Amino acid sequence: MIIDFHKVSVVYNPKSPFEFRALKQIETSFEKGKFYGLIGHTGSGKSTLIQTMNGLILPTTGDLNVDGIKLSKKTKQKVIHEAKMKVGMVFQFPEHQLFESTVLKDVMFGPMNMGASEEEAREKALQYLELLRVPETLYERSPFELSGGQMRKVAIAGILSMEPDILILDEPTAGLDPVSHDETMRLFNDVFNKIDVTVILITHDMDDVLEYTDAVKVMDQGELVREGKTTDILTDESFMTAYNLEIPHIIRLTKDLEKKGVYLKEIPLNTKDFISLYKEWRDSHA
Amino acid sequence: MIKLENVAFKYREEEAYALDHISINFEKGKWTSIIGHNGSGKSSLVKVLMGITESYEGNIYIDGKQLNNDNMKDLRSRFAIVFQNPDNQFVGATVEDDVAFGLENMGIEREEMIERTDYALKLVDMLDFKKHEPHRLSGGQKQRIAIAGALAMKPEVLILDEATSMLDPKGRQEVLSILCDLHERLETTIIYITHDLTEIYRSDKVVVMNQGKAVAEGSIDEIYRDKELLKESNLKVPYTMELSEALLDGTYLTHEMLVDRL
Repeated sequence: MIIDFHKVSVVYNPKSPFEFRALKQIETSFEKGKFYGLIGHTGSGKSTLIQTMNGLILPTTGDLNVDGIKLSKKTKQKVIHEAKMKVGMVFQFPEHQLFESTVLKDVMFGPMNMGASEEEAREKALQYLELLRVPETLYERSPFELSGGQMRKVAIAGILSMEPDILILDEPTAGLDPVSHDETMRLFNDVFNKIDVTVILITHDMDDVLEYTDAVKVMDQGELVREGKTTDILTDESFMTAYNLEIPHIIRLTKDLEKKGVYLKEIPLNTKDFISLYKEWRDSHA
Repeated sequence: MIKLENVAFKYREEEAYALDHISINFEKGKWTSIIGHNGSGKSSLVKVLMGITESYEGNIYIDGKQLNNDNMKDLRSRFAIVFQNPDNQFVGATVEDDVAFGLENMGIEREEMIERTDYALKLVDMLDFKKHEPHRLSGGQKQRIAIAGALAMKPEVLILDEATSMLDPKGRQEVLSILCDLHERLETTIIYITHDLTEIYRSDKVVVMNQGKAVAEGSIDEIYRDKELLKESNLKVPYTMELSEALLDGTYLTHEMLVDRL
């Protein structure tokens, strides 16, 4: 296990009229090298949960272990800093975090800030710029002269160059148009397949959760209400409806077709899957 | 209702046109959707329409009258707008204060202000929340309050600038169904700006924007069927359309129609 939560609770403004229990006795773990979806509607505690993982918020009671580092109410600043090094965070519009004068310097900043020599930082930067297929001709250009898509790649390379063990994606596609949305998700999936990293994706887009994640954790009112295999949870209509979660389009379609007597051989994970599975069914019933 | 004739606009002299000579006719009582990817010129169009910038080229006509410095304020008071992020638009301590804010600015009498606030909150089905604090509501509820604020001004034209893009799916559905209802009952002219093609099913007309130009105009069916156009414009057809094309005859279908035909 790369992350272990032991009865973690977080209370904001304790013992005041504004007391708010954001996390209630969270007991769970994340396996190394898996792609997780963290879902639940707005205000369910998802953001608080991820902020405990990099020490931005410490548990009010309980503790958690992030890749060997124990975080609790009493954890010292130096230890919190170590946890931060292990967790890379990508928010909406990561390109807004760019600031250096060249692409290469921007990507080198993270490793150097962590104590790497200039030579080592350059090596890391080149490695991840290449991984994200940023053309070499752009390395000495200002990041602000690039297209939106290229800027996003540079920003993500900057986060990856710190070689986090855990990559948290907090609604990374909110506000993007559909084509940029797909490109961004494919990029993360590509990164996940190429390097040894545990990914936690927070999103409202259940189509993405279905297509990309192995396992899902569902939050509601500060509690972890369910965890398990992605396809098990997303196909459970009564559960999803009870927690106001949208059933992925392709699952809804598959379920509606089952009511008509059309049974596909497997659960389709995206539109492309559906098309081939449906054709297979149609041919066998021709 | 609103007619743009060869309207062009750039942010800086040395830059390319953000709006590149656009002509669009927004008809009275109709729902016109403007679709385009991030950076296609949709927001610049809103800036020109709302008078956030005055340095545009070309002509704008409102009910046949050409917009100029003298009549601008008066003519534009007939529009109201709802933006993307509900959190950035609240000013009042309670929901009703917030909705009344615009009316207070217009110098409306207290009696009428209360009446109009209640009327607008009722239209968006939020009357029960009038004493609540806006920031404690859900995203969809907040955006409904923002719409109520716009409706209290009794606008002839309601402009929605990516008004659902920051909402979760439930909030999105809430806002869309309120808008459909308003459009039907009050015949409000709607200008709906979005990059999500699943949200434009109610449109009478769709305008596609790309690189500052209005590259196409047509019915939903015409736009959905033009795959080349959508691809060039960085837009994506709804999954129903994708499946209809791969498995059926390629006509636009709703989810229910698709289930029926497969």
